[in-house]
Amino acid sequence: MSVDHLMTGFVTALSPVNFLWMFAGLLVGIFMAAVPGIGAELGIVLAIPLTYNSPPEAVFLMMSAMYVGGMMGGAIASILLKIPGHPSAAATTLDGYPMAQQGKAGKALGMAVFSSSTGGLLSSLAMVVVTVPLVKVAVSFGPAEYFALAVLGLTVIASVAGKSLSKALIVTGIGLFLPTVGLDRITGAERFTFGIGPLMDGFHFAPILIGVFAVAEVFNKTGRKIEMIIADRRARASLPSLSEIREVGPTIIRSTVIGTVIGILPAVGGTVASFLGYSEAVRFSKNREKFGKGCLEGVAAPEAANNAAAPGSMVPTLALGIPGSGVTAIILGAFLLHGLEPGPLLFQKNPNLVATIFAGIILVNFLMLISGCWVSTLFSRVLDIPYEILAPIILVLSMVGAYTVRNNIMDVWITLIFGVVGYFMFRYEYPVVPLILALILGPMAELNFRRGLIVAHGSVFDMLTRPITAVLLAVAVMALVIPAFRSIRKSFSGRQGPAREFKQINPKGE
Amino acid sequence: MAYGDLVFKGVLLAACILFLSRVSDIPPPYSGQVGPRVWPEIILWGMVVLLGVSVISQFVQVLRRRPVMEPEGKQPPPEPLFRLANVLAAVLFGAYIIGLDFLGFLVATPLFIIIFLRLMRYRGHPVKGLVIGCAVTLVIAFVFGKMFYLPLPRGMGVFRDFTHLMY
Repeated sequence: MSVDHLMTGFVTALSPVNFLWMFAGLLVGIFMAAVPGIGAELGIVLAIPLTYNSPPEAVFLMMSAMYVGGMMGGAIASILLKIPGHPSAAATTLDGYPMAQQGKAGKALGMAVFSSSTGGLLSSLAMVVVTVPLVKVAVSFGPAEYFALAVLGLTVIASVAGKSLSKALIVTGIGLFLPTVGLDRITGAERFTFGIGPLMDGFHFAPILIGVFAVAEVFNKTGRKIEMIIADRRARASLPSLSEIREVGPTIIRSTVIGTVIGILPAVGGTVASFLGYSEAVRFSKNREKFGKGCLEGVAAPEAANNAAAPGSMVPTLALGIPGSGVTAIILGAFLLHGLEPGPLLFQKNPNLVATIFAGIILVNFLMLISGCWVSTLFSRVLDIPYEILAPIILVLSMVGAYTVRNNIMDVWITLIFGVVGYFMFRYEYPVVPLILALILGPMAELNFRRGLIVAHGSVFDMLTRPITAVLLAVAVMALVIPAFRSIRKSFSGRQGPAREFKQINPKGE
Repeated sequence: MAYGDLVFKGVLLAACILFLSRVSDIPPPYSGQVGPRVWPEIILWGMVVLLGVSVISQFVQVLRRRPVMEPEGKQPPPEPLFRLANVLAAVLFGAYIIGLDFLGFLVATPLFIIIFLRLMRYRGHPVKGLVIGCAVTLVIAFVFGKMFYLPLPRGMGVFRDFTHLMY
C-alpha cells in the first residue's frame, strides 16, 4: 500500500456520504458508551444489521468511528456517574469523578476529549507505519501458517479468561464446535443437522453474538434496581487551555506510546492500557499527592492510553486477520459478512478499502477533537434516560439485527436461546469474549488445518514443523501454558493458606 | 451456585457425548484427505475430557464441602439463580418472536415494548409508554425498512398488507 493509496483513502473517506457514516458512527459510539450497561461492543453489535446493504467503505468507516467514539464515550459516565461506560474507562473515574464533584466536570470532559483525540490520532499514525511491514511478512504465509495464526489468536482466551481458565476453555470449545454445524465448506457433507432444513446453512455468528451480548445483558438487568446519581447535571465540556495542554503533554505522549504497544498485543487491550497509563503518570508526576483527588493528568493519562489502544488493536486484525479483542472480533465478523477476509490478501485485493479505513481512523480522531466537547455535553444528558426504557429498545434492535441476517425468524430464536445461555454464562462467570473469538477463528482454523494437511500430503509433522508455523505454535503453547501454570500455583497456595492460618489459630487442629 | 454450575457443565457434557455419538453419520474422508468429521471430533473429545475432569473435580469439591457456620446476621443472603422477572423477560421475548410471525413488526413491536416497560417497572404514565412503543417502532421501521431496504417481519393476512404501507 502506497502513499497514493492513502491519499485515495482520504478522498474516499471525505466524500459526503462516507463522511456522514463516519460522523454518525462517532455519535452512536459516544452515545452507546456514555450509557452504562450498553457500551461500545454492544453498540457495534447492534449496528451490524445497518451494514448489510451498505458499501464496505461506509460500513468500516462507521464501525471504526464507533470504536474510537466508544472508547471516549465511556469517560462521560465515568466522570459524571462514577460508573465506567466500559471497562477501559474505569481508570478515568479515579480523578474524573472527584473533578465532577468539585464542579469541574466540564474541564474533565474537555480533557477526556482532548487526550482521547490526541492519543488516538498519534496511535493511528503508528498503526499505518506498523501494519504495512507486517503485511509484507504475512504475504508468504500458507495454510499451515494461517492455522498456526488462528491457534495463536485463540490463545488470547488465556488473557481474557477471567477467574477460571477451564471455564474459558469450555466456552472456546462451544465456539469452535458451533460453526461445524451445517454443510462442510470443502466437501459439502452434512454435519450435525439432524435432518432439520434450516440447520443446513449452519449457525450464523451474528445472532449468537447479539444473543450473548445484547439479549443476555437485558435479561440479566431485568428485575434489578438500577439507580444512577449524576454528579453535575449542567456540565459543559470545554477544551483545556494552552498552559494545561503544556502541563499534561508529556503524560499524553507517554500514555499514547503505552496504549499503542499494548493495543498491538493480542487481548491485552484498552483496560490494561488505561491503568498502566495512569500508574505511569503517577510514577512520573511531581505532584503525586494530587492523583485520586481530581487532577487533570489523572484524566488525560487513561483516556490517551485507551484511545491509543484502539488503532493499535486494529494492527493484528487488519494485517493478520487475528482479532485481539472483543470489539475487533466483531469488526472482523463484519468483514466476513461482506465476503472480505482480513489479512495480507485484503491489502492486495482491496488496498483502497484498507487505505480508507486507515484514513477514516485518522479523520475520526480529528473529528472527535473538533466536535467532541459539544457531543459529550449533549450526550451527558442521555444519562437521564432510564434503563427501563432502553431495555425493550435493545431487545427490539437485537431482533432486527438477528432477523435481517438471513430474513429468517429461526435466527431470532437462536438469538433468544443464546441470550438465555449468555445469562447463565454471566451467572456462573463464564467469559463471553472467548466464545466470540472461537466463533470467528474456528472456521479459519479448520479450513487451513485441512488445506495444510492436503499440501503436506497428510503428514501432521511436516505441516506443523514449517519454521514460521512451529514458532507461532510454540508462542501459542506458551501463551496458554504460562497462565495455566500460574493459576494452578495460585490455587495450590490458596489451598495451603487457610490451612496454615487454621493451624496457627488452633494448633491442636480441633 | 456450585450446584447450578455443575448442572450447567453436566448438560454440556451430555450434549457433547450426544454429538460425539453422531459423528459417525458424517461421510468418511476421501483417500489422502482429512475428512469433515476430524475437526468436530477433535473438538468434541477435547470438550468431553475437559468437562469430564471439571465435573468430577467440582463434584468432589461439593461432597467435601462442609457447611461454614457464620454468626447470624453476617451472612449475606445468596442471590437467587434467576428471578421471576428474568424468566418473564425471556418468555415475553419468545412471545414477541411468535407475534412477529403472525402480527408482523408494526403491530407486535409496540405491544412488546409496552408490556416490557411494565415488566421493567417503568413508572411513567401508560400513555407515555404507548408513545414510546409507537415512536420506537416507527423510527426503526423507517430506518431499516425505508432507508436501508432491510426486510422486517410482515406477519400474515391483514397485518401483512398493513406493513406494505410503511416498508
